[in-house]
Amino acid sequence: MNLALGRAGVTLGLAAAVLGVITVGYGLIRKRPDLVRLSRWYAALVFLGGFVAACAMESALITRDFTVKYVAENGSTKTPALYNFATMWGALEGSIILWALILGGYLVAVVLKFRKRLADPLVGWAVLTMLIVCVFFFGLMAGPANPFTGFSPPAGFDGPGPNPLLQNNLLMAFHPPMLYLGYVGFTVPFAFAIAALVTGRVGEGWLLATRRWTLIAWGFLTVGIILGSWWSYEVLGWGGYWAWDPVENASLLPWLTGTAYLHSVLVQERRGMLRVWNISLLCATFALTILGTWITRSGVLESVHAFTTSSIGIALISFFALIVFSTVGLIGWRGDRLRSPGRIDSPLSREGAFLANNVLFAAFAFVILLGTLFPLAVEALNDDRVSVGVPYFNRMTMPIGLTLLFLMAIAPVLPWRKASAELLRHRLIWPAWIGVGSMVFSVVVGARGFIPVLAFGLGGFAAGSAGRQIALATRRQGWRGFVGRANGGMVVHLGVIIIAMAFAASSSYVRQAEFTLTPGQSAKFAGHTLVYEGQNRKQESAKIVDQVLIRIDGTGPWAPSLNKFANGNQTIGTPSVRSTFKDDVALSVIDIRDGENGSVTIRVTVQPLIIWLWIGGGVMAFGTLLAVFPGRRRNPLDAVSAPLSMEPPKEPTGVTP
Amino acid sequence: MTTPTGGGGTAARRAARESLAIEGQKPAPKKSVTSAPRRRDLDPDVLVALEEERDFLLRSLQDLESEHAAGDVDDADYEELKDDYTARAAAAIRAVEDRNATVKALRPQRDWKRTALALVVVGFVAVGAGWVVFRNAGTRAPGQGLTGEARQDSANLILQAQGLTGQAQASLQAGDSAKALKQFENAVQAYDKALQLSPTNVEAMTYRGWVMHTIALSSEPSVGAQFDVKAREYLNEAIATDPTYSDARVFRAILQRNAGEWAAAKIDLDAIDMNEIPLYMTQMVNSVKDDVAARRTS
Repeated sequence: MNLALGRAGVTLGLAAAVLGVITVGYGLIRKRPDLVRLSRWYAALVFLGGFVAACAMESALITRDFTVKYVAENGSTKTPALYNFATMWGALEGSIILWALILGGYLVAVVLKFRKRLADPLVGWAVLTMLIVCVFFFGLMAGPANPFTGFSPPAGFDGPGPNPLLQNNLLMAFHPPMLYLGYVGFTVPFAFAIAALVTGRVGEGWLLATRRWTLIAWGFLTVGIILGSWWSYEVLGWGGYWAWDPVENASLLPWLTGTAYLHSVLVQERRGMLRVWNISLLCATFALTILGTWITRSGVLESVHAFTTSSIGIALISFFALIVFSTVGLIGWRGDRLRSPGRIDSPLSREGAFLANNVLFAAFAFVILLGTLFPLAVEALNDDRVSVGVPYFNRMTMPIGLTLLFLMAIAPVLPWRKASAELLRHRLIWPAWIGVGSMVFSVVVGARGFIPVLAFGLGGFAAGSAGRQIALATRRQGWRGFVGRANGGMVVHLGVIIIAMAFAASSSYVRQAEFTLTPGQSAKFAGHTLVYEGQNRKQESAKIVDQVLIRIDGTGPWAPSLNKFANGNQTIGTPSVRSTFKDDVALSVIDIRDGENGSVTIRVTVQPLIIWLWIGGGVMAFGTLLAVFPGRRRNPLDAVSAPLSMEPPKEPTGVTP
Repeated sequence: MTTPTGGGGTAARRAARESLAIEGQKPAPKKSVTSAPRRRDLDPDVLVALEEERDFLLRSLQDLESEHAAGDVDDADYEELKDDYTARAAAAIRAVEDRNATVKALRPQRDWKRTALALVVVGFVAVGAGWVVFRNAGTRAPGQGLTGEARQDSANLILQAQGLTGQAQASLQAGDSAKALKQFENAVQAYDKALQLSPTNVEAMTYRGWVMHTIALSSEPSVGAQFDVKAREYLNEAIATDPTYSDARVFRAILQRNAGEWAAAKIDLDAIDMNEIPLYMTQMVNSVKDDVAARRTS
C-alpha cells in the first residue's frame, strides 16, 4: 500500500512537472497566456505528488512497513517515534523526498503569490524554471534515488534503524528540514534571475519581486547551519561545533554567496549597478546548493572514484554543470543589457562598502571551495589521498572574518555616493569608543592574544554601529524602527557579532584534557572541580545506556554516556554539557573499564561563551523575521537615485508601453 | 533619502522642513536635472516593453499585408491602418534606438588598466590560496576526512598515528623517503597531541619513541643517533610511568640490542610477560633474545 502510494506520488509529481514544462514552455514561446496560466494546476499537482510521496514514506516508517526497502534499511521497530519520523531525511532517498516536497511547496507559494501575474513572461519563465528543477528532483526519485523500491522481508525481520548518531538528539528532527528550506528556497530567486535573463527584463523589477523570498531562504539556511553546529556539539562529543568538514563547508558555501547577494542587491536597487554580479551571485548560490548535495550525497567523501559508480553522483554533477553553463550562457547573451550606466563614485560610500563586503564574501567562499575541492582534485589526478586540515581554513578565513567585522562597523553609517571625514567622525565616534571599551573589558576579564582581543574590539565597534542605527530608526519610527529590511538587518548584524565574539573566545581559549578516575576521585581542570560519583546503566528500547555520573563544581550529576544500540555493533558516546553564560564544560566518556574498580576515562572540554553562539543564532533568526516584515513602504527606484552625473544626452522619445 | 517627508528624521531634515514651512511651500520631491535621463528611463525592463511594442507593431503590419492581399481589408482601411502602424512602429523603433544610444553614451568607458589590475589581484589571490592549500594539505590518515578535523581523543589519535606510521613504512619500501618522512612527521604530531591530552599515556610515549627509532634507522648515522636519543627518552619515560607495559620494554630492548648494550637488553627482555604481548611482538622478542643469547655465549 505504502509502496504503491509512494510510487503514485512520485509518478504524479514527475508527470505534472514534465507536462508543466511542456505546456508552460510552449505557452511562453508561442505567446499563449492561457497555457501559461495553467501553471497553477501543474504546481498544485507537483506539490500533491511530493506530499503523497512524503506521506507514504512517513506511513511506511511509522508502521514499520519493511516491504519498502528504504524502511528495511533505515527503519526499526526499536527506534523511538520522533527519530522514526525524522528517518525520512536520514538517508539519501528519503532526503530527496523532503527536497521535492519543499520544492513543490515553494512552487505553489510562488504561483499563489503571483496569481494575478501568471501570464507575465517574467513570472511564467520563473515558474517554468522551477518546474524544470522539479523534473530533475522527481526524476531522481523515479530513477537513481528511488525511495520506493520493494523488498521482501523474511519472517521476523527488523531493520537496523537509522545511523545511531541520527537518533541521539532532538535537533536531528529540525536541522535538516531547516537546511533544506534554505537550500530549496534559493530556487525561487534563482528562477526569477533566469526569467529576467531570458526575458531581458534585467532591471530591478525581478529583484523587488524576489527579495523577501531570498531573505526567507537565507534565514532558513542560517538557522539550519546553526542547528547543525549545535547538533554536532551536543552529539559528536569532540568538544567542538565546527570542524570545517566537507559537509559543513557544503552548507556554508551557499550561505556566503547568499549573504553577499543580500548586500549587493541593495546597490542595484538604489543605483542600478552590479547587475551581472548580482545575477551571478544568485545563480552561484543555487549552483552551490546542488554542488553541496553532490559533495555530501554522491560518495566522493569516501573516494573520488566512488561517485562515478553512483548514478546519483553523475546526475547531480550533470545538473550542476547544466546550471553553470546555462547561467553563464544567458549572462553572456544578455551581457550588453546587464552593463550598468554609472559606477561607484567613491570607495568611502555605502555602495563602496557593499562592494568591499562582496569581495570579502566571494574570497571567503573561494577559500572554502578551494579547500574542499582540492583533495578531490588531487585524488582524481594523482590518486593521492590528501586532507586539508583545520589550520588552512582558520588561517585563511580569520583575516577575512576580522575585516568583515570592521566593515560591519562602518558600512551602516556610510551614506550613499560619498562620505566626508567629518560625517564619519560624527557617526563613528560612539561605536569606536564602544569598541575600545570592549577591548579593554576583554583584557581586564582575562582575554589574551592579539587576534581574539582585536575580534572583541571590532565586535564592540560593529555592535555600537548597529545599535546606533537601531536607536536612530526607533527614534524616528517608533516600534517600526525594528522592522523592515534595513532595521531587521541591523538586528541580524547584532546576532552575527555575538556569534563572532563567541567564536573568537571559544576557539582561542579552549582547554581540553583526559582523566582516568575511580569512583569518588576528583580532578581539577581549567578552574573547575570534577568529582566522579559512579555509573548508572539504563535499558532503553533502542539502546543500552551506560552513564558516568560526574559533579561539576558541585552541580549535577552530569551524565555523559556510552550507548550500545540494539541493532548494530556501534557504540557511540553522548556528551553531557554544563552550559553557563560564562563557559561550557563538556564531558564525554572515552572508556569505561569493567572490573578495574569502576574506573572511567573521560574527556573534559572547557570553552568560554559557547552558549552565545546559539543565542546569536536566535538573534539572527529574529532579525531575519523583522527584516521580512514590511517596513516603511517606498519605491526603491525613486529613492536616492539622483540624476546621473554624466553628460546629459537627449531625452529618449518614447512610446509608453 | 533626501526627500523631506514625515515628522521624524535628523535635525538637518527637520530644519529643512521648517524652512520650507516658513516660506509656505509644500515640500516638493527632489527632481532630476531636467535634461538628464531619469533612472526609470534607463531601466532595461522599459526597453523590453518598447521592444515588445515594436515587435507587435511590425507583426501587425505583416498581418495587415496578408489580410489585404487576401481581400479581407479594403484599400481605404488598409492605407489608414498601415499609416498608423507604420508611424507607431517608427516611433517605437526610434525610442528603442534612442534609448540604446542613451545607455551607450552613459556607459562608462571600460578602464582597461583597472580591469587588468583586478585580474592581476584575482590571479594573485587565487595562486596564493592555491599555494597555501597545497602547503597545508597532508596525507589523509585512515578514517580521516577530506577536510577539517574534529578534535580527536587520545585513543583515536594513537590509532591515526599508527596508521600513518604504516603508510610511512610502505612509502619507505616503495623508495619514496621524502613522502615517508612527511608521514612520520604527521604520526609524531598525532602522538604529541595525544600526549597533550593525556600526559601519562604510556602507549603514546612508547610508540612515539618507536617512530623516532624507525626514523633513525633510515637516517644518516649522525642524525640517526640524535633520533635514537629522543627515542630512548620516550621509552624510558613510558617504562618509568608503567613498568609493566611490555611494548615499551620490547622496543627498548631492540634499541639496546642495536646499540650493543646486551646486558641492559637482557634485563628488559626478562621483565617482559610473554603472555601479555601480541604474536607479532613475540617473534620480535624471540629474535632479540636469540641475538642477546648468541652474543653472551660468544
